[in-house]
Amino acid sequence: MSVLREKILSTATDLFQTRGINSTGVDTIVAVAGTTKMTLYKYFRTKEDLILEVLKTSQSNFQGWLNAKLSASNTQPSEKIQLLFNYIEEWVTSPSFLGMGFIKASAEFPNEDNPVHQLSSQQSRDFRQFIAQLATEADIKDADGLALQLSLLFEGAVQAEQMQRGSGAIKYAKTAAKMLIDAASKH
Amino acid sequence: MDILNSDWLIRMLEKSSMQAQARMLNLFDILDDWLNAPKLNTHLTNTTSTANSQLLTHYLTIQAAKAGAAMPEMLANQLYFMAIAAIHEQLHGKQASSLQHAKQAAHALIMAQTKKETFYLPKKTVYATAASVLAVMLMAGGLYVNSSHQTGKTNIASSQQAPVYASHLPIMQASNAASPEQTAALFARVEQMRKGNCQLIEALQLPDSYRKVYFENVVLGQISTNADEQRLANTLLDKVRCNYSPMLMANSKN
Repeated sequence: MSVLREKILSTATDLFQTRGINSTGVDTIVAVAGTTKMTLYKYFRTKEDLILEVLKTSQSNFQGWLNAKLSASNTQPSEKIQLLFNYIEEWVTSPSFLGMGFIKASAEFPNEDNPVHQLSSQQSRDFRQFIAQLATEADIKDADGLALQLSLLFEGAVQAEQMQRGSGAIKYAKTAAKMLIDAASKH
Repeated sequence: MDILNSDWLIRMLEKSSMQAQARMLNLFDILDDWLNAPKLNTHLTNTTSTANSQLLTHYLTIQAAKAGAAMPEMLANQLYFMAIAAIHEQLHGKQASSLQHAKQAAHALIMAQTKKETFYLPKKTVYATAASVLAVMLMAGGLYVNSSHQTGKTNIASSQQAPVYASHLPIMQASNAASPEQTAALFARVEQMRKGNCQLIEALQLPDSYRKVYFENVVLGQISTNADEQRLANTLLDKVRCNYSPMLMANSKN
């Protein structure tokens, strides 16, 4: 990947998370990235293309990091779901955390027909499916139900954290997640 | 009508229960009923914005505080976001029971926030502490009996003037006294906190016994010499969020 394309992508990621997607214009992105509009449009046909690429990259980074953590944990499948929120807490409380792209995008683009909304909804569903898979591996009967509960907890906590950095929302979500997992495991 | 930010919803929640916790949870039932009502659910389809949520989040914040939540405003925001996401899922994601699942998740979250924080000691420590207290009491009791035999009337008179436990008090206090190193470490933490731009915890949400320790040690910097109080003060200090970036540097990031 071109260094310049990479630079535009990382600058846009930071600006979208800190200032909002709709409030960040292309002019600001090129000014902060130290490039020109012509270069930006060479790599990304439209601002919407850039937003979609930012979402894909951010989600891929997060999911890749989470998978690596779970693989390295060397635990039984039944324990992996218990570890999930520990890792999410680690991600959310790290100094470099600026928010979750698909959660922010979903709030900023509520129109169902918008491609950004569609991609963020798909990423939300994919993440829930990932939790459901962990729940299934842990022999939890209602894996889909638990996955929905945990993903709602996760999204609520991340949005609260995006509103107020260091709020501790994820800490309480982690405690609640453990209660839900324990309750679901008994059934 | 924006149902999520309506007086109607607040009235329904108010009427739904006398208990603050139940009122918060009933939000999900009321929204579920509304979504299942023919022709009414269209009012909820475009309410995914957080901009106009003040009426509901303010009400939830009050209920969360009444229920004893550690961080009422944050809990209210989380519940609101969960309700929005569940509505969206129920309307567009083919999950008919999303709001009921959200209610279960909300219940766990409320439990997590209202759970009383206690300081659990490992069993070994409890047994060791109990054994040493017992040993100290036996030794003091033995000394007392021994000295009574030796000094006769004088000690009987003094024992009538002061209760027996008074002689144990300094020993008990000494065993609970913090070391100079612990006191110095806590003092250093409080001093460090004062150098930063700190967001103090909501003292009104703390139990009375915690509040006293918090005000004296963390806010006023009057460090207690009691080990238990210092332990509590350290735990409360953990919850204080501080930013130590120099002001110019912090501003330049924005």
